[in-house]
Amino acid sequence: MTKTTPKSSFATFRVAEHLCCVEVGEVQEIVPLRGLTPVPLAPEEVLGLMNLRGRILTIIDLARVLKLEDDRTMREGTILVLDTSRGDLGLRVDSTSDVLQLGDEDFEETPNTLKGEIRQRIRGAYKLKDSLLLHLNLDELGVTKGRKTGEEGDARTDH
Amino acid sequence: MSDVDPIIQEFLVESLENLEEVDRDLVGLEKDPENSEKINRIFRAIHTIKGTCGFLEFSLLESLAHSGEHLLSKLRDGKLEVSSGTTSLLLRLADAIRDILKRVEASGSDSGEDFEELREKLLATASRASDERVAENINEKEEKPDTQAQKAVSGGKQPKISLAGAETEQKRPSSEHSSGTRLAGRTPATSQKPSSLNETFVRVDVRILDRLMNLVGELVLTRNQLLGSQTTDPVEASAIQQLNHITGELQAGIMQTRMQPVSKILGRFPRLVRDLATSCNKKAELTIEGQETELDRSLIEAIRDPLTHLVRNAVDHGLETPSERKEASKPELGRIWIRAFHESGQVTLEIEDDGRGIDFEEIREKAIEKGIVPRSYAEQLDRDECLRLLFTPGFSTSQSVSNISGRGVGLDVVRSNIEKVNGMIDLESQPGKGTVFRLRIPLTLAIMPAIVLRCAGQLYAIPQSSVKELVRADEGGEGHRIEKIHGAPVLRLRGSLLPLLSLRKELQLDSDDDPASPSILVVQAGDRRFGLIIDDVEDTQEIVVKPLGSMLERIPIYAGATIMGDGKVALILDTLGLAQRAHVIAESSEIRNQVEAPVLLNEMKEGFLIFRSPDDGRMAVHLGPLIRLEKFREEKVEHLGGTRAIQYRGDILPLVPVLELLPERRKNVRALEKVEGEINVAIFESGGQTVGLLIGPVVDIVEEEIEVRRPASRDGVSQVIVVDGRVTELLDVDDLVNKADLPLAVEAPAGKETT
Repeated sequence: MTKTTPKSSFATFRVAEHLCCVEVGEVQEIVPLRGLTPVPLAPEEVLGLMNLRGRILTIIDLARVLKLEDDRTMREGTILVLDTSRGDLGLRVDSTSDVLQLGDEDFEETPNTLKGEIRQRIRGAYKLKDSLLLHLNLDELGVTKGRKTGEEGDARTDH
Repeated sequence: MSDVDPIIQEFLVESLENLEEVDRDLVGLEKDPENSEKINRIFRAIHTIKGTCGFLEFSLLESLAHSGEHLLSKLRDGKLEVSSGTTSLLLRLADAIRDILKRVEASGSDSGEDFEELREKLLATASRASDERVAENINEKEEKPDTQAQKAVSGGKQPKISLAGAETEQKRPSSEHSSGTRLAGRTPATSQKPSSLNETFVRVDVRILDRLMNLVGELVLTRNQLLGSQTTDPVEASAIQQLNHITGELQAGIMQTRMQPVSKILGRFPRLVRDLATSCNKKAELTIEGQETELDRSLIEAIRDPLTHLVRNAVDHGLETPSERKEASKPELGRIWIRAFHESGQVTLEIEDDGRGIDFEEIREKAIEKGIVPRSYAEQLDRDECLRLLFTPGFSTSQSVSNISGRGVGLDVVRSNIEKVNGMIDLESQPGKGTVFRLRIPLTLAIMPAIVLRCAGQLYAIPQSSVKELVRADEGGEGHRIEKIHGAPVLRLRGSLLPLLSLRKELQLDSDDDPASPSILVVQAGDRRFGLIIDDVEDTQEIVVKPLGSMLERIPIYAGATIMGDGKVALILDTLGLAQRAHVIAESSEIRNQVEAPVLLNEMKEGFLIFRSPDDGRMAVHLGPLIRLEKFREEKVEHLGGTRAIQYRGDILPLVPVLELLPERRKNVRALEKVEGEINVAIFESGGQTVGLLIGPVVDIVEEEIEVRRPASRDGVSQVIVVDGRVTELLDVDDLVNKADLPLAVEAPAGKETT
């Protein structure tokens, strides 16, 4: 931990009381949330669909992804257009914050005590001075394990 | 696919294309064995494959192709006659090469099964020729028509050696000598294309075309927005008009670039028909018309399997055996036609045979026997409707299961595949004369006409092709009313029950109470119709279909999404998915049984409402169109001009005084209509409106098999029957309603066929 490793740039953003980040290169653009079309029967993380210059973007809510307290009427926020292994995805966050240069020496793997889906959705945490910065695992954001979305009745009750 | 070397990739694509041509030529050659042009083409194709193999070091494929080429050269040089034996052998060669090519595509190498037996056979057949004739005068072959030789060598009869030098490489006739093949093996595959083609055609990556199509879609949307803006500025308005036209043309142009001729899939059918006919001992000839008809490339792929199925059916089930045909005084050679042509903005494909045709009565019986439809229902079907039963799941007319078709997956699969691409299928058949299947396919899938509907504040689109009708339901009872069977909503539509789905409920929307006067879209999903309860229809418009992301594509009730004129996203509903999710498809037969159960205790029985007529006579009406039987107090009857009416469920129900309308019995009828101040009203649906029939005291409701039927005794009566042991007049409700000449006659229902 004494060696300094090359640093990477991370885009940080806030949702509820959490500070999260993804690598800068994974963010295509940042747009305001507007004109959302809800998708009935969709997995619960999905807020809806948005028209991004003719592309149809699935918007997922980071608060729901992280199973945070969630106000379902919430219709504001900022969308990070992300380039994931499963196609483009819009991630709704409360607000965006700075771009930080961080190295591996500040990084800590997800503690074993964190269980379930959330564990897969977070790669680990960077220890900042006054808080922890959660590094999201984009490849797992759009994946809902073991759920056949909408095929069997109520998608909201199973998990 | 992507990890295959691009050179190999190109070789694969080209070889497979060439093989298809080989198939076609081989089959053609059988009819016309002297056609040297065809032999040459086949030879060149095999030769090219062999040559490229040598270059790419696919030795197994090379040696197989070489043995084929060897045989072909004998055929070409006239040392061996073209026979069905050689053709079959060469077709097997084409199959074997295809197998190896697939292997190459999958593994990058040609090692595996070596087709040694086939190779030996090819060589043996070829050497038979050599043994017989090789010793003969080497110039003799010149007497056979040999276009290559004539083209390449102006001098005509020349010794073979000099020929080889003068020939263009790929036409090298000397290649049966092993020294020649080695050399020719290095011939680049492309060199045989005429150079003029290169100047008029450009190979374009399909992805670029897809992207252009996408952008045009965007442009169409933007144009729609502008068109909707209703500007008052004349300059702006004319600019918008201009934009409108250009967009339209651009859209047509881009769509055209994605078009491919149907010959791409029809090419292999001559061979298919040949093989099938041989294997079931029939004689068949295929005629293809309109090969050049073009269709969007995605659709070309989508219709490949359905077409194959129909052509198989035509040979296997449609055509008779030669002896049967002789008996029917038809030519032994059965004929099959495939026709493709443009018609009213769609592509029509017809598959016709001149075989035995389909006996619709047999279909009817079979459908009843298999329990697909109840007898009473089947008996009402006309000829065309009977034929359409063929498309019902679980229906297969083949008497025995053969290895060609009739494996239980029948025309219902064809139909659902065609409907998946918003196409339609229909058939016509004349017993003894033949059958025609007709497919209608849209030109493109990317842009389609849709109905935009509103449900709980959101807009959804539904493909227009799957919507048959729009019906407005009113709680009041005018025209159409939603009724319930064990809680499941149904709608009476022209005498039959239509299961209903509430879109709000299916989508599990928070406010899942349906609106007071909802609209109902009558939707076709597979072979079922159901009604979709929605709030309202907003508009019809051309929509651009876009895929849903990976997170949502597994939700079966959405077919995609589109962008509306206001820039918002709207989901496109998939009617088949909706029906499956709601189990309409499985359940609709159940619903039908529940409803008809009392009527159809025995399938031959009919249901009647029997009431008294003057002089203790009996009259009856069919239960079918009867909605309800009500008693009203006499005072509730109001007069409206010459007619009587009653307020019923928030609407005005016109009354038809049955007994007064029947001729010659007007004297004491009034007395019968009311019993202790109450009147009996049978509420019917007739000609799209709800009417109340003022009838006499009800005797009974019975289900009986009617054995004695006599023609009508008078106007307004359809038959005289014996029911419940009594002679009874069966009333013709529609006729009576017409006679009543109701002033309130409501317009026909809002919906109309939108085919």
